[in-house]
Amino acid sequence: MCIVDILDIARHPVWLIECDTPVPAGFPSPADNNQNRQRVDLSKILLPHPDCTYLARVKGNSMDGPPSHIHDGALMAVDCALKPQPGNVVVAAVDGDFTVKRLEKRDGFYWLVPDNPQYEPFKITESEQTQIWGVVTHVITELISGKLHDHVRSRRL
Amino acid sequence: MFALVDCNNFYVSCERVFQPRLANVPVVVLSNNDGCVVSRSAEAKALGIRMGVPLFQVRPLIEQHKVQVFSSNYALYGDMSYRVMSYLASVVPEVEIYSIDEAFLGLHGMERYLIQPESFAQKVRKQVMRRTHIPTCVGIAPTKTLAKLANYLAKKTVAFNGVVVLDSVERQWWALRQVPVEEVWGVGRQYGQKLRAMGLNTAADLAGCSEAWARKHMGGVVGARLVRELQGKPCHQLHPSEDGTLARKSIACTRSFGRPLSKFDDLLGAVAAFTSRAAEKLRAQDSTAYIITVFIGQNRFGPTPPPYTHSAQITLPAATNSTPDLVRAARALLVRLWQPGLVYKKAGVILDGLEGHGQPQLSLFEQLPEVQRPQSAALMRKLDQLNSRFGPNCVRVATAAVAGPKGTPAPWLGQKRLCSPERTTSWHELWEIG
Repeated sequence: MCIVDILDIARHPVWLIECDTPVPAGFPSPADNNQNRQRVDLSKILLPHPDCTYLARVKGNSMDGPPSHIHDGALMAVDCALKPQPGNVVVAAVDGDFTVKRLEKRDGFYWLVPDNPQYEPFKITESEQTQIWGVVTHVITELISGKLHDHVRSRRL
Repeated sequence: MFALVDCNNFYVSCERVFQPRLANVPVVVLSNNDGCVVSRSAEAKALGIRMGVPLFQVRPLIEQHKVQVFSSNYALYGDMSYRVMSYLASVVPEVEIYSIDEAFLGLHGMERYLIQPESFAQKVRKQVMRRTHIPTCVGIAPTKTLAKLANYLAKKTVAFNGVVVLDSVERQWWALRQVPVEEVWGVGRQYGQKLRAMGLNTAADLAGCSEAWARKHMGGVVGARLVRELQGKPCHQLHPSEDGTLARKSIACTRSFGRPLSKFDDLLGAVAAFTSRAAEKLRAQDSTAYIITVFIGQNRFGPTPPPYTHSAQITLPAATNSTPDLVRAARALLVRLWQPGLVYKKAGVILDGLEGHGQPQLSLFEQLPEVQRPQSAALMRKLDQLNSRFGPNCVRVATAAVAGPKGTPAPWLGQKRLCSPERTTSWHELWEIG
């Protein structure tokens, strides 16, 4: 003799909490609510024009002083899309050699001024071949002996 | 309207970017293995150094005039080319990268904006110069062939200031009269001689021919199109590439050896290495190939009589892009070509019959390669991933003699004694100032 009990079924839905993460026990990670998973990207700031920016390493200490404090061995981003303005630190080709100096305008003439007071400013005249190659936008120095220090090689030329 | 932008003496210009001391002095760049001159500055051209001349033939000239000589630094040239092309792609809706140093720009729909094409072209030249320090010339015309011709004139004549625009019929005919017939894009040396023998000396003479004549004497429809293009009726469209790389119709990897080789194993090492490289290029553009050609060459300037090169070709049963398959075929071809006792200076592998991946020509008697070896494509994908992550040739077929990250340099590898640093692509050789 079997007795069948017919039970009432609840006719309204039961809401369940859905968890995105596997839950060993407990609650979903509160960090998952923050949908923004992007990291801060340094190269976006340093390289707004990657196709016309060149990285260069500085040799020498002619700019090692206020306000730029570019030390020997520092890494620079040189942007060629920008128009050089007085006050910019620029890379210039003077008589077939590159140099890093601050471009300044004094009494109608342009000067290439070293930030290290031990060096002399240089007046740009028509006679020498001088060409402003690009504008230095950022300088990266390394305060530990890390990867930037390993990349100086002896020239074979 | 089309514009053709072309970098002047591209390899030399790249060397000058980071070496201002090279301005206004004669400079040449050599091919692989420092064999022949492949790029010359204007000053070097003026000394009479011809394109493609072997270095040893012009050594006295070079020493006498203190010509600056460089090995080819392809890492640098590739990066500078990419920088130029990226800028060009940002100024017009469509760009076709035609080679490492030239690109066609599609100016369609820009006519209202370009009231003066001349000043647009000068702006492009100025910007490329400022951003990359590479000098360029621009030719603008209603067809690609005429744009090429305009560019030729812009390069030849200093007075045009690097820009020639052929926007009227009168100017087009004037330009056609200035250009020798063999300089027309697509004519070449062989047809040039043939045309001159028929009394057609300039591009204008060729443009004056009828279409029927061109069809008969200049290789059918190709010749007819060439003549129509010269007459200002466009037949060739722009072929812009989706990802900025040009899908090629054939892929080659050829090198002269650093030293002469005669042992079969040494040649096989070289040929297998070149095949692997060609297969990599093939996969990079997602194509497959079913025709493979191998050639080996002796020293042109040595004691042996011609022929200097021997080549053999094989048609594969089905198109493939798998390195082991292609190396196996190349090896079979080399066995046919190699003769004991001869000294070889050069070898090359050419892949033809390219098909887009996933559109294969089926074979009647063979199953598809991917059916026969379902793992092959996955293996090749992994191989390319490993090599892009850990450096070129990190994983390779064992027969390929290449300079891997570890191990001795391959016997065929050339000396690049005069190579400038890879200033933009390598941390170790980064540009230094001061």
